[in-house]
Amino acid sequence: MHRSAPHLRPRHDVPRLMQTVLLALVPGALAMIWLFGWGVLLNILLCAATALATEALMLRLRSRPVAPVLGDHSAVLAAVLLALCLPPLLPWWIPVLGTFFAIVFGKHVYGGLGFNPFNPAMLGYVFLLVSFPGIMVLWPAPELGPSGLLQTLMASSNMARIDMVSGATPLDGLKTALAAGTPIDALRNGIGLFSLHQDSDWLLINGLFLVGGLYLLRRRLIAWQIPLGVLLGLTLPALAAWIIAPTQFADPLFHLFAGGAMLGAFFVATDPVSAATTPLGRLYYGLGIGILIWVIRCWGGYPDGVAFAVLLMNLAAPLLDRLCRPRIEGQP
Amino acid sequence: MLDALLIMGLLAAALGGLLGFASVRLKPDSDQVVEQINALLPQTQCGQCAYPGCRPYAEAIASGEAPINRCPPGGETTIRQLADLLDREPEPLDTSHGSTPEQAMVAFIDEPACIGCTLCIQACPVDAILGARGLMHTVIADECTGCELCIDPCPVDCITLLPRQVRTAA
Amino acid sequence: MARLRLFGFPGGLQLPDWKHWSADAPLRTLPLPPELVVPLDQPNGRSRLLVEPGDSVDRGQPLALPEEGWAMPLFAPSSGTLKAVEWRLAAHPDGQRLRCAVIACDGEDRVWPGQPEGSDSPFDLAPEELRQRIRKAGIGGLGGAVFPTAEKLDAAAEQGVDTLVINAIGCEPCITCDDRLLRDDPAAVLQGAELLARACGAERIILAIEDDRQEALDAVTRSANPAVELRTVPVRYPAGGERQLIRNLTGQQVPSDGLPIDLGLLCQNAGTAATTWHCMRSGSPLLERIVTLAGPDLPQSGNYRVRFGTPMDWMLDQLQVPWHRQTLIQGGPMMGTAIQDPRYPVTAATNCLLLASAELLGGEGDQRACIRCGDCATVCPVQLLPQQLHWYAGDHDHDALRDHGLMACIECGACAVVCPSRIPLVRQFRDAKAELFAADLEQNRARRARARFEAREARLQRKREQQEAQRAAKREAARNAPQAAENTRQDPRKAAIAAALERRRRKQSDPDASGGE
Repeated sequence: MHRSAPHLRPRHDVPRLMQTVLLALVPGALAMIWLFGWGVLLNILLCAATALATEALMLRLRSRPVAPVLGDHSAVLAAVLLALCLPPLLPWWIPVLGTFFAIVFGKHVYGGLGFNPFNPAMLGYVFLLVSFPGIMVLWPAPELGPSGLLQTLMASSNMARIDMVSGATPLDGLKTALAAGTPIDALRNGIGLFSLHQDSDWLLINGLFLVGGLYLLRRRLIAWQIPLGVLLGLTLPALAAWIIAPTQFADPLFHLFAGGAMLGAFFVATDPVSAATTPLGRLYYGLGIGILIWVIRCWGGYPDGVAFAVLLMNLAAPLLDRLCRPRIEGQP
Repeated sequence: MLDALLIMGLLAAALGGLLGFASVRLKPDSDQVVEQINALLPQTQCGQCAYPGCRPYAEAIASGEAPINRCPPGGETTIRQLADLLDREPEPLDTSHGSTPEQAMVAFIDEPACIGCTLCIQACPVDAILGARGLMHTVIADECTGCELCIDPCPVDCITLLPRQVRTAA
Repeated sequence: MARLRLFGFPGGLQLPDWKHWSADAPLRTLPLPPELVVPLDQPNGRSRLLVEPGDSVDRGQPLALPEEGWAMPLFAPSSGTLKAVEWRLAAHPDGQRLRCAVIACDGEDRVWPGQPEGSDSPFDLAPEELRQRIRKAGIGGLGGAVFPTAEKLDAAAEQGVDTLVINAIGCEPCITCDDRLLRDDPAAVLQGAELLARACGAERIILAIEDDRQEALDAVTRSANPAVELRTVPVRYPAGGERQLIRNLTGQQVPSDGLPIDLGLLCQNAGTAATTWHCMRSGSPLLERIVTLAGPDLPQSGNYRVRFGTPMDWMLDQLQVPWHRQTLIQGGPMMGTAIQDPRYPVTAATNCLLLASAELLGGEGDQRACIRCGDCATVCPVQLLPQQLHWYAGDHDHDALRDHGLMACIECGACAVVCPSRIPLVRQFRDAKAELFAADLEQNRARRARARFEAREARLQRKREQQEAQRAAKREAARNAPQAAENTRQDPRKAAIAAALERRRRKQSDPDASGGE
């Protein structure tokens, strides 16, 4: 076949790109497994396996070659991102169902990689959240070690109803307390920058995802405008509100290191297919997500707003691209 | 309950009235629409659409009398463009009116056989044939649209169609 | 050497530096091959052959004159006999077959007696005379596109330019022919620059070089020509593109639908300048150029003075280059053309012959769907959105393509090189541009047909009205018949005519009356 210019090998390709993102997720994921037990690992494995199987099934149904597509690792990446959003002690069919939904309705009905308007992982998560609200928001403090493994397996196979000792996330605690009218300072665990975090679990997790994200930035594998936008969009309104009414609003540092903020900013929002694609459009896209996360956290029905914020801005992405087209050289 | 019915009824009446007003006072200038449609047609003036030329076909489309898939020289491209312009469904070409030629064709007069009768000149809708009574007729290839209207009138059958490339190469 | 302010250009990327393969080898001249092949149909125009197969030709003898398009006069590169006219597959991405004149060299290299006299002091020539001589010598741009230099100079002289920019930036990773030229013959480049400036009326001359070409910079500085300003630009692809260079040096953007002369600037390649100088001095037309031969681990890498018409396969065999398992590219890795028929000759467009294995250059396999990563938009020097152009090109959405600036694409290849899905974007954009051209052509045709149709309708209408008017006049005349008859009786001439008509009428109605037919 006649070769056409350019005749140089491209710098990186899709499988390697996805692999590197998965690599950057490892520190944060390990922290989650360490702090929340075997359930997290089980979720990751279940989701990954389901994703591959579902994608293979869909490709067969669509009469497409299976191996090259599975080899681009995008399904596994979506699965892992979804798994990291799920609480640890879930019946096995929840992660399986969520992943199935994500791959089928978040990706393949639109034509596969590159054609989906919504972030598949977030679509799957929201589907689960809306369908099974009870178990999806409970983050129990699990047992660790070998007995924890048994607990996990029993929860997974749904053989025993685990007494959910309420292990509220910091965001959860904040929401409930504010609804009950408790002033914020009562929730503080001492004084200091991160005192609103009840313990250092989520602080560590977000910190490690931040490290992974910075690595991706350095490797220039994600567009810097998106995480910058998300973090700014989250910080600025939080800062303003906290200055105006410090007893009713958490400080920006809390928001940045709580829930899925860092995971969302660096790994979820940066999914290139569903995000905006022009440089300025990406900045606004990120800002929109950040602002929406804050708004939903303060006034929305769910403790964390990352998934909804991302999906809403996915809707806006084409419009942002149309409005933010760069000026072509030599044209007015 | 009554309140709800009343409000909904009033809303329906108001909006319906607004729509009716718009459909009368804000109707697009039909001449403009015909112009826009005509601009998309290939201007071969061949009559294969069963109208005597491109403008009459454009008028028929504008009035809703004719479907948009009757033009073989325009082919799929024109059908799609008309569908976009008029917000109608694109349909496949109605091949009972002819099919789109694979290659652009132009007419060619076999000069030894030509008797100079001017019948083809009179038939050509774009005056692409040069000649006069008793003098040689020849097709100006760059202006010929391939509409084939000159072929039938020729009494000695000396006009054929050739692919455009061959005709215009030096 | 003052480092004046540079304005940069958007996008662009760093490419591996392969210049060291060929930059340091001394310039060598290749001997004459046994057969020279001269393409008569250039991709930008056709020519008419002046000689027949069997005729003997001398070096520099006109072989063909331009017939249409941007063709330039072609000359026999050396003396010999015209053997035949054959079709060869061109070294052009569109893969056209071109007519080529094949000359059997006799090795004597006799100069054509009719060659015009050179000039000892070309600066004494008037600008129009200079441009005419440049046209007659068939000089074209040696940067790769071979646009007729005389046309450019004519347009510049007519519109008025104030600055001539000599482009010595070889931004493709492996091309060093201009670098070698500057090191070995800087005087020719500088004098040639002055000559070109005189030919087009430019008052200011800038020579632009990449800032890592130390030896070339030194050589130019040593030649110390006060008329030419030396400017260096940082190494970044595609800094050597005309519009990018102008933006870099002046901060001004050449309008998409315009040319540098609209801003009062003219760009010429350094090789063109040197060639112009030599040709004006000697009277010889453009017959040869410096070609870079480059390849990793290729000891023969270097720059060669090659006569036009030298078949590429002969050249590589002559230098004992093991080329058969490699990919041969005319040009650089970013914008070069893969050669399908190596019997094709070296022409004015051959700035480089790149030899590399498929592994080094990267295969074309495993294309995936666009993942909207946006890297292509980041590197585009024209600030286009290649990801959008890709979608629209796939949809054949001509309006959207035009709106998003497809016609402003310079086909530099930066977007395709960074695409992780390995989409052949440049090829797609070339195809889309061809579609747009064809659509424009069709639309113009339709518009003309419609104008002729409406003119014809108007003419027929006029004719009908004229006939109607005549008929009306006749009816009027009939109504006024008694008056007319009275007039006839009065006028003796009319009476005679009327009498004659009456006789004829009687004869017709009664043929036996007076021996009719």
